[in-house]
Amino acid sequence: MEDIQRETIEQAQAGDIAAFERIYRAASGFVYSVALRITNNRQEAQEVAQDVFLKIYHNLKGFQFRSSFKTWVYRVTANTALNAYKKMSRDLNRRQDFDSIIDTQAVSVDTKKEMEERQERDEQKSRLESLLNSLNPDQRAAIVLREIQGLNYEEISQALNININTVRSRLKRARQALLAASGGG
Amino acid sequence: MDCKKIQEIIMTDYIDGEASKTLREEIEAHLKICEGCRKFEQALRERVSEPLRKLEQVKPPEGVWQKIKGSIEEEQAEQYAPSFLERLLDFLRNSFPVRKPVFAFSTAISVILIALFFSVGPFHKQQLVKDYIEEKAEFMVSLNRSVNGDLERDLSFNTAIERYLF
Repeated sequence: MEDIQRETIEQAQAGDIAAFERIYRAASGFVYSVALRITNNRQEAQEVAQDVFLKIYHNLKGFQFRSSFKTWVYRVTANTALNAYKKMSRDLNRRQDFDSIIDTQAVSVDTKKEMEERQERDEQKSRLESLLNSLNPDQRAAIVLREIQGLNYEEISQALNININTVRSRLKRARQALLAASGGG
Repeated sequence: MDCKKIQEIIMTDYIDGEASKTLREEIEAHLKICEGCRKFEQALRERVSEPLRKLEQVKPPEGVWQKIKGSIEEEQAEQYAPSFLERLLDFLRNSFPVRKPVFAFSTAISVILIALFFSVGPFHKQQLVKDYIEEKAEFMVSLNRSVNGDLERDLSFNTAIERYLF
């Protein structure tokens, strides 16, 4: 997640919507990516992102800088995404459109070599996404925060509200499963 | 430490850079002499960690921000919108314009003070002089009228003595 200045947070706390938009621009990539990897559903991830930012907006005035703003965003995001995934799983009529994640960027005209490279990347990405799907949501949240978002154990522990040994244990199980699913280990 | 324990550490603290310097050195020393653990470490990096770390951050579609902004603006509009009671009071105020008590009170005090000022102040004396002058002017006019015969008509009782004198 990009750095967010204290001044921007204070302006947003005072009701400045332009400042809140700067927070959104800095954090939305993190929030949406985590939501997408955990729920594995674009529509659900968009709703999670919307929910996360509305929660942040509503509780922003009570934020007193006693903890890191980033940590707070990590926690709200992880909680909201996990709850959304669990709710989605409970729903008997839930959609089965575990759609693959497609870049929202415009498609440019590629050369043959570029097309091959893109195809290879897409295949690898798709393989990884199906590997992630083989994990349970708690393991997936831990591995996404560690491997994709680069959080350390302390930050993961705060984001998921679990102790560091549980972080370690979830990462170990997730990696064992991923290694096995990728054809070895 | 046996290979099982070493591999557990490789899967967690070692690969994530959370191991202490001593522990890291111990693992590295083991990897130099154990081919099985070395292959395990290599497979973990190549097939799990590195591909995952290459997954890029995905930005949400622009519509997400528009929805968030819309919700916030809607909430703000509701927050500042007058309640039913406030709207009713406004309607009554516009229909039956009544001064607010504070303004009515201050107006009454102002009127009393102005009246007192004019009744006991220098303006009061000026009014007395004005009345006196008007009274005298009327008297002079009446005298003038008497010269023109009005007095005779007004005061005449048509007696013998009057006829003798005038």
